[in-house]
Amino acid sequence: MRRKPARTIDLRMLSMLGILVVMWTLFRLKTGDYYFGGDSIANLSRDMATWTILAGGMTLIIVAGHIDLSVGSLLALTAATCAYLINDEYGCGWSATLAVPVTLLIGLAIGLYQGFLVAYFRIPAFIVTLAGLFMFRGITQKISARDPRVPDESWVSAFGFQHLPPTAGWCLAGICCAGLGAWVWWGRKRRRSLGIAPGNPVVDCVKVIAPGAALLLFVYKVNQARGIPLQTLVMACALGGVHFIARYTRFGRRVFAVGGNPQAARLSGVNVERTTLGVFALMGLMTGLAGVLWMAQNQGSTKNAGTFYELYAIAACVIGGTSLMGGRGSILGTFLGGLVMATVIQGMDYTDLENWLQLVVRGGVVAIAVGIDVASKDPAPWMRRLAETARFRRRGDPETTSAGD
Amino acid sequence: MRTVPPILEAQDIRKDFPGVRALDRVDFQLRPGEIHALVGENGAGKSTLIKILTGEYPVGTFEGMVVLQGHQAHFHSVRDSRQAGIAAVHQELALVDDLTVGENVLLGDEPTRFGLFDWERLYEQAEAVLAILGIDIDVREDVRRLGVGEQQLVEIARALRRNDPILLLDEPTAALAGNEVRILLDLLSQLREQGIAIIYISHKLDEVFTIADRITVLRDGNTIASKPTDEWSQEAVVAAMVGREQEATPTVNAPPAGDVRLEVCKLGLHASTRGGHPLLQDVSFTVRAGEILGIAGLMGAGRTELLSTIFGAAPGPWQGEVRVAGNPIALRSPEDAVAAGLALVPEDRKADGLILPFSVLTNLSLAHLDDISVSGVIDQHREVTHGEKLVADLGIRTPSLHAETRTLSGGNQQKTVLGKWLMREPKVLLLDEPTRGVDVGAKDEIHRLIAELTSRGMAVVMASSELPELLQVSDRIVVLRRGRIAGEFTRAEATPEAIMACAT
Repeated sequence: MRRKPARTIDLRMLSMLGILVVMWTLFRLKTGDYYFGGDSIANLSRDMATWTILAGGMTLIIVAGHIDLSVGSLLALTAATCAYLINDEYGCGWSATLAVPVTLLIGLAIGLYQGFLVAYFRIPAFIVTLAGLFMFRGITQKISARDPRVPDESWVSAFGFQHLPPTAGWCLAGICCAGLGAWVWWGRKRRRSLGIAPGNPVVDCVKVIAPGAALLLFVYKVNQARGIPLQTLVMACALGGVHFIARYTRFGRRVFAVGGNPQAARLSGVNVERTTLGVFALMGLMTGLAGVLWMAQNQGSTKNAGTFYELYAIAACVIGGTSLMGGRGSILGTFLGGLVMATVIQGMDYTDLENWLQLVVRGGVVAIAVGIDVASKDPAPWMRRLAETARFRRRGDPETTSAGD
Repeated sequence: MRTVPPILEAQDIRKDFPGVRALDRVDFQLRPGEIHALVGENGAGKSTLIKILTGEYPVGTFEGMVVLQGHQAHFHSVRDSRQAGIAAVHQELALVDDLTVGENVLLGDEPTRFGLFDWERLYEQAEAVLAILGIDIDVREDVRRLGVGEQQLVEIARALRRNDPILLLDEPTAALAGNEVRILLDLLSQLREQGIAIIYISHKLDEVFTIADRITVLRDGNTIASKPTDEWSQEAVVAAMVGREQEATPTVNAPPAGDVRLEVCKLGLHASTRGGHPLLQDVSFTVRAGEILGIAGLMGAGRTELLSTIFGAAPGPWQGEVRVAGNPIALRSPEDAVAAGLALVPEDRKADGLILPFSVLTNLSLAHLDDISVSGVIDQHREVTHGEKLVADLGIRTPSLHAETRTLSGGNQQKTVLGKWLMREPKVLLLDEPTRGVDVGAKDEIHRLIAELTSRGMAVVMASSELPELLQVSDRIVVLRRGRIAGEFTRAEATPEAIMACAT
C-alpha cells in the first residue's frame, strides 16, 4: 500500500497544505467573517468541481507522458450536446435519463478518437488535442447557437444547486471515516498474515485521522449553511475513482510505467498503445461528466463554456506535483493543487480584484509554484553555485583559489 | 616515475549520501604519463570518486581535497574541471543522437565563419580527430545509426579533441568488440607517450594488466591498495576487490537435453531505413530445455538485433518463424512474445530494462502484474511478498524494496531486470550482455543464477561480447558474422581461437 514516493509526496503535500492555510488566513483577514464560513467553503468546493474533475483525468494523461489541450472545448461540446438533447423548445426534448448517458458516451468516443490518433498514428498529443481545441469549440458554437436551456424540473438540474441534507452529510462522512479506518486496519492484518512487517502504527493512525478530521471539519462547516453541494459530491466520487485507478489497478500501474520509460515498459510486455488509448478514453469520459455538471450548474449551455479550463486542469496537476516528463504524479496532489487554484480564484473574486489582474495572478501562481518545485528538485547550475556561495559565506571560509589556477 | 609530482590527487575524500557512506577516506594519485587503473566491484565508489574529480559533485558536497598540479581545486561544475584540463568519458553515453558524428565530436567547439556554422571546416576537423585516433566512421552519419561500440569511439574522440593533460575513462571497453578494444588500447599507450595522465576504470582485468602502469583497488569506499602493476597478480587484485578469495564458478554439467523449447527458422531482418541493408539473413537454430546457447560475434554482427527480433521488438521489417515449445507464435510486439513465454534482459538496462525513477518493487512486478492482480486490481500485499522473495532469492542489495532503482549499483540493477521475469517462469530466457558493466562478484552471482534457472528447465539464449564469459557459461555457441550464422560449436569444440577465426 505504501510505496517509496510516500515520504517525498508527504513533504510536498504538507507544504501545499501550509500554503493553503496561509492563503485562507490572509483572505479571511482581508475580506472578513464571510470568508471561510459555511457558504464560502461550499462555494469553493462547488466552483472547483468541474475543472478539478478534468484535472483528475489530466493527471493520468500527463503521467503517461502526454498532454490534453482540448478538454475545455470538449467540456463545452458535451455540455452543449447534453443541453441540446434535453431542451424541448428547439432541441431534441429527451429526458435527462437518456441524454446524460449519451453525453458521457460521446465524451468517451471523442477521447477514444484522440487516443487512437496519439497511440496508433503517433501524432503528438499536443497537436491532436490542439486541433481538438479548435474543432470542438467550433462544433459547440453550432450546437449552442441559441444557448439551449435545461428546464429546472429535470433531475440533472439538481446537480447544479442542490445540497445534501445535513443529516445525510454527517452519515456519509461517518461512513467514509469508518471505511478508511477499516481499509487501513485490514491492510495491516493482511500484511501480518502474509508475514510482511506492517507499517509504523503511528503513521497509519495519522493516515486515518488527518483526512478524517479534515472531512468532518468540512462537513461541519458546510452543514452550518446548506450542506454538501451535490457537485462537490460528484467531484469527490470522480477523483476517488481516478485515485483508485492510478494507485490500485494494473492499468494505473501501466500508465505510470509507460510515462516513466516507454521502451522499458514495452519490453516488459506492456501494450503501450492500448494503455495510451485507455488514458485518453478515461479523459474523454471524465470530460463528459464535467460537461454535464457544467450544464447543470449553468442550467444550459453557452458558446464560451469552459474557456481556459484546460489550463486550470493542467495548472492543478503541475502545482500538485505531476511531472510533465511523465511517470510521476498523484491524484491527491492534483486535488490539493486544484484547491490552491480555486482558493486563488475565489479569493481574488471576493477582494474585487480587476479582471485583467486576476488573470495575471493566476498565471503567476502556476509559474511560481512550478518554479519552486523545479528549483528544489533539480536546480539549475547557477542556483547550485549561488547556494554554495551563500553557504561558504555563512561558514566564513572564503574561497581562496578557484579551479584551474 | 616516483619523482614526478602527481598532476591530480585526491586526499582523504569522504562522501555521504542519505543513509550511505559512498566514500570513506579515499586517497588517489595520478602522475603525468601514466595509465592508472581504478578497479573495484560495483558500488565500491569508483563512479562517486570520478564524479568528485570531474566536479559533478561540486566542492562542498564532500569532505577532503582535490589537488590539481599542486593547488587545491574547487570545481563547482563539470565545466570547471573541463577548463582545468580533465577530459572524461563516462560509462553512460552522452551523445546527441540526432546530430552527426562530426557535430558530436566538436560539440561546444563548433567552428564558425562570420558567426555562421562552418560545416566544411567542422567535418574536416572532425575527420582529422578521428583519423588520428584511427577510427573509421563517416563524420556525416547520424549518431543514432551507429552501434553502441561505434558510439563509444565517437565519445572518446570527443573527449580527446582538445589535448587535455588528464583523461578519465569509465568502462570504455564495456561495449567494444575485440578489435575495437585493441584500437583503443593502442591509442591509450600512444597518449601515454605524449605525457597524458590517464585514469582507466574497467572490470576487464586482462585489459587492465595489459595497459596499466599502476592499479588502485577500491572496496566499500576505501582505498585498499595502490601498487605498480608488476607488483600485482590478477588473483591478488580480485582478492582485494572482493575481500575474499574468489571461488571458481561451478561448471554445471550439461543436464540431459530436454525438449526443444525455442526454434528459430530462417529469420531475416532489414534495417528500417529506406533501402535498408540486411541485418540478419537466414538465421536458424534451436534451443532445448535446460540448455544455454551462447551467441558470439563481433560488434555489428547482429547479436542484439537477433534477440530483439525473437522478442517481437524487431528494429525493421523481418521474416521467418519463431516457435516456442513447438507452437509458432505471432510476433507483433513484445506483448505477444511475453505471452508465449519469452523473456528478454536487454543490453542497455538503464534505457530499456528499468524504469529508473521507480522503486525496486514496481520494477520487479511490472512484468507479472497479471499474476498479482484480481480482475485488474493489484493485490499490493501479495506484490510485496513476491518482491521480498525475489530480492532474497537473487541477493539484490538494496536498502529497501521502495528504493529507487537509479540508486542501485549496476549489478543490482541487472539482477532487478532479471528478477522482473522470474515470477513468470518463462520458457525461454533471452539475455543480451547480461554482465556488461557489472563487477566480478555480481557477475559470478548472475552466472550462477543462469545455471540454476537452466537446471529448472529453462532454455537460455545468451549474447555476449565477452568470449571468456560465453565459453564458461554456454553449452553450445552459435557464431554470427554479418547477420549470418558462421558456425556452431559444442562446448568441447569451442576455443577462443576457433570462435574468433569464425567470427572475423
